[in-house]
Parts: sequence; structure tokens; C-alpha cells
Amino acid sequence: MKKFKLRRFASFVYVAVMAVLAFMYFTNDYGLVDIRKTAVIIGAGIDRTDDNMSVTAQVAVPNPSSGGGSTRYIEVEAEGPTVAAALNGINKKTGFYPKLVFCKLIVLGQSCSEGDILEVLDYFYRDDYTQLTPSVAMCEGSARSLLGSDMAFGNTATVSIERLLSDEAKRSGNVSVADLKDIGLLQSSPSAAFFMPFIRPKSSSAGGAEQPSSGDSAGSEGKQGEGESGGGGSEFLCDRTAVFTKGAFAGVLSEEDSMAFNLLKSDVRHVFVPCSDGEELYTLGLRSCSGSATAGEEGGRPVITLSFSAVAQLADTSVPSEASQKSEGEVPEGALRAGEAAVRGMFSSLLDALRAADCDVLGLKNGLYRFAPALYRKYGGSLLSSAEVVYNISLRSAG
Amino acid sequence: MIKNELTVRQICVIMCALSASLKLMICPTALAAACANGLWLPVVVNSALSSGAVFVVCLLCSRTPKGFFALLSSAFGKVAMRVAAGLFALYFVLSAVIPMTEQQTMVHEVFYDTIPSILTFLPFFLLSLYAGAKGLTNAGRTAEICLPVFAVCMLFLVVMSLSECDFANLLPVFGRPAARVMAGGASSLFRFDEGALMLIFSGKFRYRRGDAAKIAASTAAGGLIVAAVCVIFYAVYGALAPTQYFAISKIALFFPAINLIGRTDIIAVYALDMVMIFALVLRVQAASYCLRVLFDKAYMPAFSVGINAVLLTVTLLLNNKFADVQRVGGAVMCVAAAIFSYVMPLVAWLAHSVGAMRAKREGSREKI
Repeated sequence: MKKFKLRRFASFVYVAVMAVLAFMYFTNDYGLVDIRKTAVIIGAGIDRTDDNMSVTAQVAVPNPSSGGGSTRYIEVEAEGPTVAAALNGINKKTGFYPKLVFCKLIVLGQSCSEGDILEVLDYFYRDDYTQLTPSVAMCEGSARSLLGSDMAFGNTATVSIERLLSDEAKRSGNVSVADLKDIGLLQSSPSAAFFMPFIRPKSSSAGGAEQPSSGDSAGSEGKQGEGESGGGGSEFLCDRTAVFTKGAFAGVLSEEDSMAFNLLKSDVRHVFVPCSDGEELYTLGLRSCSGSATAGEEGGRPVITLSFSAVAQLADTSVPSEASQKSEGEVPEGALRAGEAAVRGMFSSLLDALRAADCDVLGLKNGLYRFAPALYRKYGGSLLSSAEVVYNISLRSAG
Repeated sequence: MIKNELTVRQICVIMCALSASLKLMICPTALAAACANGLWLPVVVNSALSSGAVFVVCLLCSRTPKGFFALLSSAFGKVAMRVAAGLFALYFVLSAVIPMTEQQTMVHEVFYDTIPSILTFLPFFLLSLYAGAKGLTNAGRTAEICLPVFAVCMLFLVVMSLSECDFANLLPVFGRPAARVMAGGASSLFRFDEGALMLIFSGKFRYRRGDAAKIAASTAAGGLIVAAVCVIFYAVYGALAPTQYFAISKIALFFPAINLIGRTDIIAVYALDMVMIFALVLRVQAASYCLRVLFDKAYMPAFSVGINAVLLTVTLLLNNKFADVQRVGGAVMCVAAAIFSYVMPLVAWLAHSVGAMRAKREGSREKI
């Protein structure tokens, strides 16, 4: 019979206990949380009141019942002199531990445009438990009303707006999407300008964004999680872009200017551009888009070059064409030139708007600082206002 | 007489993977704060210095089979050897403090979503206690197990982070004042102390032709891995990098799939954290070995208990003093690392020369 070795057995027990404890330690099993006392913030809205910050958190409340109950969403609002104080107010009000780890959207009410926007966002850059991944947007009216609105698409305002700010929307050039990281990076660049999508109700008659929140008090009745509340809800658009210089609100770009901005700065895959050649109206579908805004020097003077190239397809026209022409897919030369003129017009309008706001959201100074530091030192101060503009736009037919 | 406790391959893995893993916690953030987009320059310079120190020790190993402490003993006597062993033990214990506080804070911040009690860090000491009692042979075997984990996890995280990289963030390359970059490099010198470890490994492996180049190249490769992570980290976060602690857990956050399926990157971070734990425990094992030399007794469990008791006390005392530990500890450890990693290899050569001269003199006396 094999002799029982106490020392070996003790070693084995020690290693086993150590492994179990280490596993529990690293997987946070010591930090078990009572699901009934937990709230996950999926979206946050921030408004400025007289001297305070008002934070409205859209909270997913896990429902531990086994009777098929789904996650409930409620809006909880609290005020404080800072965002952190307001979040603490939510904790005081509800007893929930507000977790921002899963927060995917931060909506700033229009009132936030009155001061330095970075004062509002500062908390999210400081908090160790908040990632820089949430999308940030500004809305017309108050963020609290927006988050409390019934949505036509999606079960909660956060989910609906997230859809509007999706990668697909970004790639179609309709939305300028920015997250906390983008904003922080752009603000700390030599250009010191950043952007975020501007959310507005589809029509003023819809009025959804201005209606008082259904969740204006702690723990107010929320929406059941599953399924979409079809019909009757508010519809919102994110096709405009709010721009900021040195933390201060500089204005809202129109839909056309926003699209021009996206063509230059975003990874746009497919975009529709309407244009006209004399009497004929065309809608060009542009693919393989490549845009850039750079600054340089030509003949001893600063120059801004706005470049754009794409492959064009004729998506629609006011004059019906024959089937053989459609199958060849060739875009008439006139339509291509008209498309280039349309794009150039959009770029020109965008640059005028940015010059008027003195907002280098195109990152021209940043480009100079990185690639031509000597030119940055020479022209950095007055680049936007003093530089000549060169347009380099090229569309080619897909057919 | 060489006790073949380690193989050259194991030493290479320790110098490359384990050493690099310890530098991936706070080092990129600290360097981004000090040197901005030039954060990779001090890593390259310090790695070159560290590889040089390792090479110097390896060359010595090619000349003599004696270990560092044996050389000191034959050149300056046993008292000098014991003093050196005691100082090295102290150095390794102190060199574990900063990474240990970083490790504790990283786990609390990355794996927990609310601030947990300090008590949750105690299981680390169970592992440390166990491994510390095992000696250097155990360290070598552990390193070999850690290598594939380290390689796979690093590859996973780097691939996930590439989509978000904007390498233009690193421009202009030499845009920062040289003095600032040098100051940043000096402040991070204590993290590049492979020379001290190599002194402990001397006499523990059988040297063959070309091993010095292999070990030094492994050390340089570890440094290049850290430099690559620094580059990727800054390419992802740019000017925000100084505010992002624990770079390795943050670089893959923007991978598109994470938004849909959750934080899959945390699996790699978790596995990598295990490697970091073993890299940290290596310091305890090195300190245990030095105590064995100091007392000339192989009471390894007792040494491990003593070292871990000190580290536990330090952990409890320094809880919530992370910034102070980084600032004060960093300054102190830079001086210590300069002495133990960069001066001591030269002392080892001196001891070798003195020992050889003494042996020669004694040999000629015997002839007379």
C-alpha cells in the first residue's frame, strides 16, 4: 500500500486553494453585486441649469424574475454643481450604484453650449471607470426631454439615437459621429476644434423633444425592454453637426455643410450627391470616396487644398434613359462635371461657414504641425482666414 | 561549480517576455506624460542600455563559471559577498513594490467596476509565498509556460487595436525638447533593470558560445515589444494617453466587435495579467535566492515568508498612495537600478579581475 505523504498532500491543497482564490480574485467574484440593487446607465443626458449641472441617466434595470420579465428602462435625473455631484445625487435618490461602464451615449442639451463644453465632459475624462468609447451628441432643447421621449424607432431614446449614429450612417456621409476620445484628441490638438452630431426633431410639429420627460422623478415608470414601440413616437435627425473652438460652441453646420465635412474627414463609403447639368437633374451615387483637407505653402503664401475623388454611378435622373445605357453604367461627362461642381460648392460653403466661426474643425493646423512644423510656426495663427483655397475634385464614371 | 538551475532558453524568455510584461502596466502612460509623442524614444534608449548591461554580464559568464556572489567572495572575501547579497535582496524586494502597487491598482480598475477592498489583493501573496519558496529553477519553468500566453495575448491585443491607430499622432518625431525626453527616460530607468537579474542568473546556467548575444538580443526584443506597445498606445490615444492608465487594457477598446459582443479583449488582458504576476513573483524568487546566499542556508520557505510579510505590510501601508509611490518610489528606484543594474556588472568584472590576480599571486607564492 502506498504511504500517505502529508507534505505532498498539504502542497496539493495549498496550490488548489491558491488557484481557486486567484481565480475568484481576478474574475471579480469577491465583487458580487446584488442584481436588484444595480443599475446600468446606458445613456446620459446633461443640461446646464442656472448654476448647476442636471444629469439625466437612462438606466437599464435588470429584472431578476424568472417569469419572463424583461429589462426595464427608466430615466433618473439629479442636479449638482458638477456632473460627478449630479451622478452622486442619482445614487442618493435611488440607492442604485450608477455604473457608467456600459454607457454608450452622452447627450448634451443645447444649454451646454453656453459655457465651456469641456467643463461638462471633464468628469468622463477623469473617471477611471468610464471608457472613452461613448458617442457624444448635442441636441436641440434639453437632453432630459430627449431621453424621456417616446421613440418611433427603438425602445429607448438611447438605442434610437445610437442607431442614428451607427457606423452605417457614418459611412453614408449623413452623420458626423464623434466619441469622447475623438473630442478629447481634437481639442488637445493645435487646431483646438471639435465636432459632434446635432440631434433635432424631424419637424417642429412632432414636438417630442420638447415634451416633459415621463421620467422626471427618480424611479418613475419606464419602458418595457423588448419590442419596438411602433408609430406615434418622435422622430429625430442627426444630419447636422455642432462645431466647437477651444471648448466654446461655434455653431451648427447645415446638412450640406455636414455632408461636405464628412466627405473630407470621415471614412465615407457611399454617398448620394444631387446635381444639375442645365435642365437635367442627376443624383450621383459616389463610391470609393477619398477626401482630405490639407494646408501647405505655394509661392510663399499659405494654401488650403480640399481634395476629393470618387467613383460615380448614375443613381437617378430626371430624364429617363434607355435600358442599354443603364446596363453600361456610364455616367455622362456633363453629369460628372456637374457632380464635381456640386461637391466643390459644398466644400466652398463649408469653408465659408468655418471661416465665419473661426473654427479649424478640419484639422488644418494640426496637419501643418505634424507634417510641416516650420509652416505651422509661420502660418499657424491665421491659416484659416488668410490662406488661398485650391479644390482638387475628381469624379470618374464607374462604367 | 555550476548548478544548472536555468537553461539559456529560459533566461532568454525571462529577459524578453517576463521583463516586457512588467513594463506594460504604467510605463507607457508615465512616458506619455513625460515625453508625449516621443514616448518610445526613452524605451529604445533604456532597452539598449539594459541589453548592454546584460551583455556585459553574459561576457563575464563566458570567462568564468562562477556566479556573481562567488566572484565577490573570491575577490573581496565572504563578508563583502554577504553584504552584497543582503543589498541585492533588499533591492529586489524594493523593486517589487512599484510593480506590485501597479498590479494591485490595475486589477482593481480593470477587472472590477467599483473600488474593491484592499483585502481582495491578498491571494497574490499566496502565490508569491509559494513561488518564492521554490527558487530559480521554478522561475525558469514558469517563464517557459508564460511565453506562449504572452505571445498570443500580445498578438491578440495588438491586432484588435490596429484599426484605431492613427500613427500620425506620433508626428513630428523629434518635436519634443530633447531635455524632456531625456528626463522621461531617466525617470523610467528603474523599469529596465535586467542587468541586476542577469547577475543573479550568472553561474546558474552553462554558458556556450553565442549565448551572450542570444540573451542580450532577447532583452532588446523585450524592449522593442514595449516600444511597439507605446507606439500603438499613443497612436490610439494621442494627447489623451497620459490620462489613460494601464495601456495594455485600453488599446483594444475601440475594436468594432467589442461594441457588439462585449469586452473580449479582457480575456487577453486577464491572461497577460497572469504573466505579469509571475514576472512580479520573479523578484521575490530573486530576493529569496539572495537571502540564501546571505545566510548560507537553504531555508527558502522561511525567506519567502519574510519577504512576503514585508511586501504585504508595504502594500497595506501604501494603499491609496499610488501617485506617491510612483513619484517618490520612482526617484529612489532609479538611483538603485542605476547602481544594481549598471554599476554592479562592472563591479562583477572588477571582482573577476581581482580574483584572477589573487589566484595568480597565490599560485606563484606556492611555487616559491
